Amino acid sequence: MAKKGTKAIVVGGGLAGAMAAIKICEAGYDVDLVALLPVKRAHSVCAQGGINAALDTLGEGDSIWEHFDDTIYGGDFLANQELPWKMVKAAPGIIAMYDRMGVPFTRTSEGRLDARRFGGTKKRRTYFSGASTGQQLEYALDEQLRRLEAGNIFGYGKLTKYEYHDFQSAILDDNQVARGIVVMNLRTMKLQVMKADAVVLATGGPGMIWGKSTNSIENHGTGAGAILAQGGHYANGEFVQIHPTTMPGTDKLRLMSESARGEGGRVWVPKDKNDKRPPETIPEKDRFYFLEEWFPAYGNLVPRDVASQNIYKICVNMGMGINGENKVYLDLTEQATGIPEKRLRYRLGAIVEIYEKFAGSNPAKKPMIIYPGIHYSMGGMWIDSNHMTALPGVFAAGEAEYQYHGANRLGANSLLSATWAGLYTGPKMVEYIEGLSSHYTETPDAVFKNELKRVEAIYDGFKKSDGRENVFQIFDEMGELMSKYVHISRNEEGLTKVGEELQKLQDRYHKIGLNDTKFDNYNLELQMAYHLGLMLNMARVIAEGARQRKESRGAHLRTDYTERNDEKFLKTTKAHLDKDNNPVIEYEDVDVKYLKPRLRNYSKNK
Amino acid sequence: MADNIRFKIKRQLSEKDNSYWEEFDVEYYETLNVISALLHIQKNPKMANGKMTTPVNWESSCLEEVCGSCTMIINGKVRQACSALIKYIIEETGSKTITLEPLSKFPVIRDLQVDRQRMFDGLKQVKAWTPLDGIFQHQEVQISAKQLTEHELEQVKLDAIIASDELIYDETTKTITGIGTYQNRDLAPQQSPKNSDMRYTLSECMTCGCCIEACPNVEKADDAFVGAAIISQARYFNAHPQGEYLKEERLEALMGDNGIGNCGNAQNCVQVCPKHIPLTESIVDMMRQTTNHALFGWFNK
Ligand SMILES: Cc1cc2nc3c(=O)[nH]c(=O)nc-3n(C[C@H](O)[C@H](O)[C@H](O)COP(=O)(O)OP(=O)(O)OC[C@H]3O[C@@H](n4cnc5c(N)ncnc54)[C@H](O)[C@@H]3O)c2cc1C
Ligand code: SF4
Ligand code: SF4
Ligand code: FES
Repeated sequence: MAKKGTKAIVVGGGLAGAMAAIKICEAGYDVDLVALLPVKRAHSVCAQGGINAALDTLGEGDSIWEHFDDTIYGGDFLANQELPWKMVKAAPGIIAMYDRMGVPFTRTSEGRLDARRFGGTKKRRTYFSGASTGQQLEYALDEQLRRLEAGNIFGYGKLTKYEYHDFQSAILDDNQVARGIVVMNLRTMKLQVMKADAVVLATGGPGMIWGKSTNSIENHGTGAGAILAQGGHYANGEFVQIHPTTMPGTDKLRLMSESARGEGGRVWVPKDKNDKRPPETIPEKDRFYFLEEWFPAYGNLVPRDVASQNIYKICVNMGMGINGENKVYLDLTEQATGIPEKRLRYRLGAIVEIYEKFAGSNPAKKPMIIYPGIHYSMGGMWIDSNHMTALPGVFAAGEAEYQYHGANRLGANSLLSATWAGLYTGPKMVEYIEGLSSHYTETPDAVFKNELKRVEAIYDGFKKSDGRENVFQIFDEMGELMSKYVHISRNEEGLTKVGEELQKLQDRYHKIGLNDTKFDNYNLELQMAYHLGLMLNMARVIAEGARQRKESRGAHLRTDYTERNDEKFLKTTKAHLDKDNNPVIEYEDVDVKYLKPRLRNYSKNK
Repeated sequence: MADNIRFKIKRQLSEKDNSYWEEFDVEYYETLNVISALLHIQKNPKMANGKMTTPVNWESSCLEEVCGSCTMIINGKVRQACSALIKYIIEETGSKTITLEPLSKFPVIRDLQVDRQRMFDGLKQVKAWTPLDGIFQHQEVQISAKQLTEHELEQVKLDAIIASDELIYDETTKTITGIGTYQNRDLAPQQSPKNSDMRYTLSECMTCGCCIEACPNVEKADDAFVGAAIISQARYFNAHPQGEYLKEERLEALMGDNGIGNCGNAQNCVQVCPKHIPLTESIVDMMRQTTNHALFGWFNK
C-alpha cells in the first residue's frame, strides 16, 4: 500500500527510531530501518527509572505547565522553548499510547498507573515498570514494528529491518539534498547504497567517546559524526550529563537509577573522614547527608548536575570521600530510609539485582558505593524546529539531537523526548516528502555511485594500511583524555590541552594497521577504524565548545568562570568542521518565548 | 592474585567453516568479566603460544544483562558474558582456565556471535503484540471551536492560555483558531496490580536464547520447536485486556508442528533463565489454554 516511488529510511531502533518508523508506516509509506544490532537490543533497553508526564494519576495537582517549567529551569534555560513545550503537552498521551501497547506499568492498589518522584521536581510524575522501564517501552515499540514487518495492516506501509547494518554517510545530490544513505552490511562487510526521499538519524548518544560511561557499547554516536563530516552542525556538544550515582567499574559505569533516590534513597559520607567502620554500623549522628543539608528544598532529588557537582565537591575539594577515595554512599537500607526489603525489591528489583551481581553485596543490607559517571548527551546534531539537520532530507531524533534538555536533562525526561521526537519527526518527514518536486527515483545513478566510491576509498585505505597503531588503543586513549579533561569540572588549561592531545591521536589515527584481515564477515576492527575517525572529530568539537564557553551553566562547570553569563552565553553552541577538519564554533540565540530566564537555586523552592 | 587467566575459545569464521580452538592469557584483576577479557584480546590478539591471530568476535551492548546480546557457553554453561565475573567463576570451579563457546542451537555468525533470528520469527508467529488501531497522537491539525465538544474546548482553552501564540482563543465568541495537536489520552482498561506484576515478570525476557540452548527438545533448525521464551511471550499478550483479542490466533500458532506439543517438560529452561522468568508456569498455563482451545475452541467460532 506504499505511496508509489517514495520511501523513508530510519537509522536506529531505539525509542526515537522505532517511533518514527511506526508513524511513517502509519502514513502509508514504506520504511527501511537500519540498526547496528537487532532492534530489540537497542540501547534504550538500559533505561531504568521511568518516563515523565503530567498525567497526575496520583492527584497531586501536577500540570503540564509545571512539567514545562521544571524542564526549562532544570536545563538552566539553554533549551529552545518551542519543542519542549510541544513535548510536555504530548506526554500524557504518550503514556496512554504505551499503556495501550501493553506496557506492564507498575500500578497502584486500585489498578491505576503509579508514579514516583524524580530529580528537579516536586511532583510524582515519573511512570515506570519496576526499575527497567526502558526495556518495557522499547519492547512495546519493537512488538509494533514486528507487526508492521509481518505486513497486512490495511493502509499501512511496510517495514523492512536491516539489522547488523552500519550507517556510513548520507548520499547528497548536486543540490545537497539527501537521496539515500551508504550502509555497511556487517554480515558481509560490504558497502551498499539504500535509496530514499528522507532519512532520520535516531542513532543515540555518543557516550563511548568517554570510554567509560553508563552507555551501551553500541553508543559510538557515529550518526552525528558522519553528518558533521558531511557539513552538518553539532549543537551544545559540551553539555554532557554526568549521572551522580553510578557503580565505579573497569569496563562500564553501571547506573544506579535516580529512582533509587525517588523511592527514598539517601546520599551520605561519614562526618569524620577517617571513620573506617562498615557503613551500616555508622550511627545517624556520624553521617553527613550533604545533599539534604545543603539543599533543604529538594534534598537528594536535586537535579543531576547539582548532585554530581556536589559529590565531586565532597570528594575532591573537601577530601571527604569514603576512605579518601572518589566514592560516596547511596543508602537504600531500611535503617536509613524506612523501606522494607520486600518493597525495595518490588519497586527497584532490576537495579538491586545489577548491584548484587556486579558488586556482590545486597543494597537492602549494606549502603551502595557510587560515584558520578558520564551518562547522557544533551548536545547532539543541530536540527531546526522540524527536526531537520542542516542537510535537507536528513532529520535527527532522540539523544542524537540537541533540542530538548538545554544544559541539563531532568531524569525520566529522555525516554519522553526520544519517544516524542519520533512521533513528531515521522510526520514531519512525510510532510517533507510530499512537498518534494522530484523523488530519488529520478536522481541520476552517478550521485549514488560517487558517494559509495568515496566511502569505499576510505575502507580501501584501512585495508591497505600497515601502520603500527591499534584502533582500539587509540579509542581507549581518547576515552581517558575526555574523562580527564571534559568531565564534571573543567578549565581553560585542561580544555586547551585535551584539544592538542586529541590532534595527536588524529595524527596517530593515520598510522593504523589492522590485526583482523578477514574482510568478508563481521569485523569489529574494521568497523572501529571508520567509527574512530568520526569520534575523534566529535571529541574535538565537544572539547572546543567547552573551551570557548567561558561560563558555568548546568552540566558545564568551569572552575575559572564559575557564574552563568546570560549576556554572552545564553546561546546555542553550533559547531561544524572546516576543510581541514578543525572545529569551528558559532553561536545562535536561544528562543525563550514562554519563560524568561531566571537564576536556579535548588536550596529554595522555585 | 596477579596471575593470568587462560581462555580457551572456540572459533569459527562463519557457519560454513570448521571450528577450531585458540588459547589466550589475560591478566587477572578483581572486576574482570568475560567481556573485559575479550576486549583485552581484541586490543592485543596474541595467543598464549605467543603467535598473533585475529581478534575474537562476539556480540554485546548493554554490559549489564538487559540487552540479551552476549549469551554464550562459558565453562559448559549457557549464560551472559557481561555478568560472568571471573572472580566468581574461579571460586566456583577452582580453575583458572575458562572455556568460551558459541551457542549450539543457532547458526554461527563469527566466533562467539550467533544469529538468533529464529527467536524473533517465533515472536512473529505467535503475534506477540497488541492489535492497536493506530498511534493516535500528535497529528497537527487546524482546529476551530465548532469542531470541539465542551470538554475538548476546556482542554484546548487550558493549553491556549499558556501557548497563546499557537492557539488564539476569543472569549466573546468562544472560538479557538490556530494549529493544535490531536491527542488521545485514553488508557488501556484498568488492570489489577496482580495481573500487571505477573506480566511485568514475563516482560523482562530479553530474547537471550539461554532457554532455547538448554532445552533438550530444540534442534538447530529453522523449523525447530519455538521454545519456552516464545510460549511465555504468548502468555504475556494473552494476559493483557487488549492483547487478548488475538488469543485464539496465538493458541493456534502454538498448536502447530513447532509448537508447544514439543515440550517434554524437562524444565531445563527455567533453570538457566537469567531473568528468573517462570517458564514452566508459562508452559503449563499455555498447555491449559491450548487444550481448552482444542476442546472448546469451536464454541467461539
Ligand atoms: C543506564 C541508563 C539508564 C537510563 N534511564 C533513563 C530513565 O530512566 N529515564 C529516561 O527518560 N531516560 C533514561 N536514560 C536515557 C535514555 O535511555 C536514552 O537517552 C534513550 O533511550 C535514547 O534513545 P534513542 O532512541 O535516542 O537512542 P538509542 O536507544 O541509543 O538507540 C540508538 C539506535 O541507533 C542505532 N545506531 C547507532 N549508530 C548507528 C549506525 N552507525 N548505524 C546504524 N544504526 C546505528 C543503534 O543500533 C540503536 O538501535 C538512561 C540511559 C542510560 C544509559
Ligand atoms: S520444559 Fe523442558 S522441553 Fe519444555 S521448553 Fe523447557 S527445557 Fe524445553
Ligand atoms: S525466557 Fe529467559 S532464558 Fe529465555 S530468552 Fe527470555 S530471558 Fe532468555
Ligand atoms: S551485553 Fe547486554 S546482556 Fe550482556
